[in-house]
Amino acid sequence: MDDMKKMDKALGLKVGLEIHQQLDTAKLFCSCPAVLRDDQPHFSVTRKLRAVAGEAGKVDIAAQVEQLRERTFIYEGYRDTTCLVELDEEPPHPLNPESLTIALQVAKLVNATIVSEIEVMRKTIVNGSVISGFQRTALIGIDGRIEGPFGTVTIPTIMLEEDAAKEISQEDNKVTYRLDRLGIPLIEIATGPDITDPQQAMDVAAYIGMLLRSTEKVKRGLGTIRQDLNVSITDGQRIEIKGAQDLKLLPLLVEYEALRQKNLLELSTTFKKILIGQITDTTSLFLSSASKVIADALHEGGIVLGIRIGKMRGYLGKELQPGRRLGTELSDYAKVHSGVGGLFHGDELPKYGITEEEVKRVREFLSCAADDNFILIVDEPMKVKRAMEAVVARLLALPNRVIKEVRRAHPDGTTSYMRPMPGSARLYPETDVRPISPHPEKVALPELWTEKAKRLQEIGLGSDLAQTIVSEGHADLLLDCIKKYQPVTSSFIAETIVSIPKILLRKYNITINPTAEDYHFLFAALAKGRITKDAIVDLFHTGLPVRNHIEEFSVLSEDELKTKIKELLVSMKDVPSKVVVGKIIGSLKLRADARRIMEILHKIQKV
Amino acid sequence: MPQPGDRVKIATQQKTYDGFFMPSLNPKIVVIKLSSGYNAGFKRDEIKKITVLKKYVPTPKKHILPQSEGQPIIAILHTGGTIASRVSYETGGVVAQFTPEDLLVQFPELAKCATLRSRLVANMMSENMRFAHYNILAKEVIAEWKAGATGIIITHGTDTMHFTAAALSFLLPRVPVSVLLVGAQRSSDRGSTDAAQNLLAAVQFITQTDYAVLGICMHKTIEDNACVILPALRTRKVHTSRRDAFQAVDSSPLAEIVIGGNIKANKDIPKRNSVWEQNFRPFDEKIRVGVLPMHTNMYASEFLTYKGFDGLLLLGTGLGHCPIITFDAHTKEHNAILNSIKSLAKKSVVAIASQTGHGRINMDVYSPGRMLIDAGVIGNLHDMPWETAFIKLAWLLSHYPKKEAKRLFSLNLVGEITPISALNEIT
Repeated sequence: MDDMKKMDKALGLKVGLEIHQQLDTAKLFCSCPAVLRDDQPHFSVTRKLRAVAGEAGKVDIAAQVEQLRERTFIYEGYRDTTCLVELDEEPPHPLNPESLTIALQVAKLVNATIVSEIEVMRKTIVNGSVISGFQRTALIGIDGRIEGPFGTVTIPTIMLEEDAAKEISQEDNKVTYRLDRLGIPLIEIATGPDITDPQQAMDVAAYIGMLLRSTEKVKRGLGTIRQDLNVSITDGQRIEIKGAQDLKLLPLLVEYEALRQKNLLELSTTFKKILIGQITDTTSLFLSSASKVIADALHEGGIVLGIRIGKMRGYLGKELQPGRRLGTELSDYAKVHSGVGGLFHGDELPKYGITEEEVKRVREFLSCAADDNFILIVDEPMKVKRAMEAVVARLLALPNRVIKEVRRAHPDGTTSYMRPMPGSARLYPETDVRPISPHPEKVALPELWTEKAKRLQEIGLGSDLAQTIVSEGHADLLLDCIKKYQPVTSSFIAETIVSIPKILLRKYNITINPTAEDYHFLFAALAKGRITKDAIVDLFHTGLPVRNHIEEFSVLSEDELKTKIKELLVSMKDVPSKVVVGKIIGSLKLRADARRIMEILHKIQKV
Repeated sequence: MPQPGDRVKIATQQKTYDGFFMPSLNPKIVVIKLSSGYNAGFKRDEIKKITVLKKYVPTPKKHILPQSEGQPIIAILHTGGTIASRVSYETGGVVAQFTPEDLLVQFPELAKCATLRSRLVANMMSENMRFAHYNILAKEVIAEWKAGATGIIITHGTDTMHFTAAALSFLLPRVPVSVLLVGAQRSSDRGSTDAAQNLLAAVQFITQTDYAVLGICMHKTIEDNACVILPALRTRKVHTSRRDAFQAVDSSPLAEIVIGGNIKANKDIPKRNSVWEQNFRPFDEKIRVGVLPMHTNMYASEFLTYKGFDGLLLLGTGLGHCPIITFDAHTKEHNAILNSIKSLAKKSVVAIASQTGHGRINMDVYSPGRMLIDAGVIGNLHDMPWETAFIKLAWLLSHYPKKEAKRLFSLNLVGEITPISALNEIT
């Protein structure tokens, strides 16, 4: 890693983070509950979106790309959790006050200056994920900074915004989105480009995550926090990487993006100019091709377009990131801009059923010199044309070094092209919502999780257990129980709270969510000796709430124990005496300890 | 003092910020568009200094799409509203878009099938319409027709679009070309605007058919796939915000337009005509007509507010009723109400329409209805939506003596009253 660090320094690596965290409140601009659902939606609505002309007839580049796709959007919703606001059929309601309070807390936690008047803005997004064509977003705080073992990192902006709808499926020109996620409040924290090594990116993200969770009002679970990265190296460009679900992936994403930019820079010095031939219809060369992809496409009325790329033999197969070649990169452009399945390039053929003979004929047909390369794309004529244009445009831009763009994170740390970097001129005032004067002075700061965990360690908990208790939100419950239920020890209470649901899941495959009240009943009974520790698992297995079942596990008095043992002895008349003792202990151990049972058994048998 | 759009630098106690000066509704707050594109408000009394770095210069408009010759001419008359306005990124203010170039920048598809001629007649939110505006609009329609328009589109705020449609029906009977009112429930500056589809559907209807109707062209449902042409005299805005807010009242759409697809029209709608014998009789702009909805626990003084008006339209309950029966100690006021109606009906014209939204007035069924007739309330057996009834009453009073106006109110003049109560969808 030290070598890596040196390399990053030499490359001039700069990383910024954008962290999006869903809040656990109602939706930001309506009163619908912010619940994510997987059940069958109740209705769907078909819509179109337009690229809206901005100033002087300029349309946002990102917007234009999307409109080219002539797509239809289908929005699915639920009658009980989706309203007219999420359907863009009613103006937004006032901004959710609880979300605002949390945003103000976070802004204060990162030492930001809170704006005197919050102006809700519309951020143009026409990929369909926001039904109105814009995301509502508001700047809450500016010029913050955080400090930690990772150093000092600036936080230029803290935003409160609505989440987008989630994509369900995409076929041809139809994209289906579900409205459950649309409108869930998100806090966006952006750091300055102050991070200079990959590990630091993860540490900073983890710290910000801890700050957010300290508010105790953020959603938990997969997809509820998203980390976008902005990565650049000297002479490179700012690349935005979206969709990193796992914190641990961040260092690798940074590393690989730096590598990609370094490789692109090298290519740009090798190729000061890209020589490209005419886009040529090569369909006639493949009329009896054994390649299934080509044969199927031609059968459907498709064509094969080809293009010669001067002097690039061997370069399309060059890796930019592990397992991802320049050819893969171009293929992504083709896919995104026209919806084709991909492309074939000279460095990977013969393959995919395309024969050596066919490759030879293509090279001749396109007049390729020995060191020239070529690209083939097969699909419907319109799509192929658009795909080829996108590929050519990307190739011609190679001498321009790195191109600003948005990329998608893959679980292996590599990335793929997603869309051009949206222009910055795309925020308009949301005229449907009145500006808000915040009152940060009335907002109390939550205790940080790190501080809470420290407090638990001080009362004797191990560091891991303390952190688990805090991160699962049980710290207050624990402290309360410790105070009330001596002589039960603090570590026993902590262990029990953390492990009971896990044990039930492992042993009986059932998921339980005990409430604070359940634990209060349990520890109160333990403190008074009314139940045994051995009974705890069975008690929770019998059913919740604990108060309804605790009697079934209460410790037996001397007389009760005697009666029970006698009853058992009668019922086991025919059981061999060797086994009887074990059986009796087994059936009563939850309500009396074995020593007591043995003593009473001996007494009875003596009589 | 900086103006919206100016590039400024503001200095607070702690820091300076660069950005663009934006309009602020709160005099104590200065709003700046920061380089991130976000607007943020700063307290005026915490700002030490504002320096203008660069004055705002509007970007000159480019004429982008030359319009081709030989296509049908569509005249677009703007009256304001949501459809042709958008928020300026540079100045944060609402700017109107009225020239053909503006429209073509926003809706380039329009140029493919028609040559546009467009003009701003008035710029208002439609609740501010007055009879004078109806007269101006009607004259503009006539002028555009004379100048050879194949069809006329009136862009209009949606709130009172159906009132305008009704008014034009009396001012411009038997239009020789289609005159379509088009509005938007979502503003044109957002990707999800319904303005484009509504406008395109109207253009499609004008260029692809030879019908000549006066109607309202809006979304059929909340989906973006079809629009309907709704009858001018029998349509109402039934929802505050939905795209399909406009619905036919006791009738059905005149035509349905699938965007980029087929147009289905009712068999009996009229065709374009090269001659038009206009009999333009404008509203008397001084006529005063009130509308009073009936409710429980009413007082005679509510009615007497309309003393001195030329006409009053009562929005009766049910079949056409008002609280005029005194039957116990609590309902003594009702006698006073009956007397106030009588006195108003003597001096002006008091008509009735139903507040139910649908259905025909029938004051013969219950005795209070008959008492209203005896009191001089007119309108028995008509089935006009109350908005149309209001417009008609005003128009009649503009041109006829009271007695004649009363007679004509319940007679069908331009299609506002139908003899048959057909079974239609209730929306």
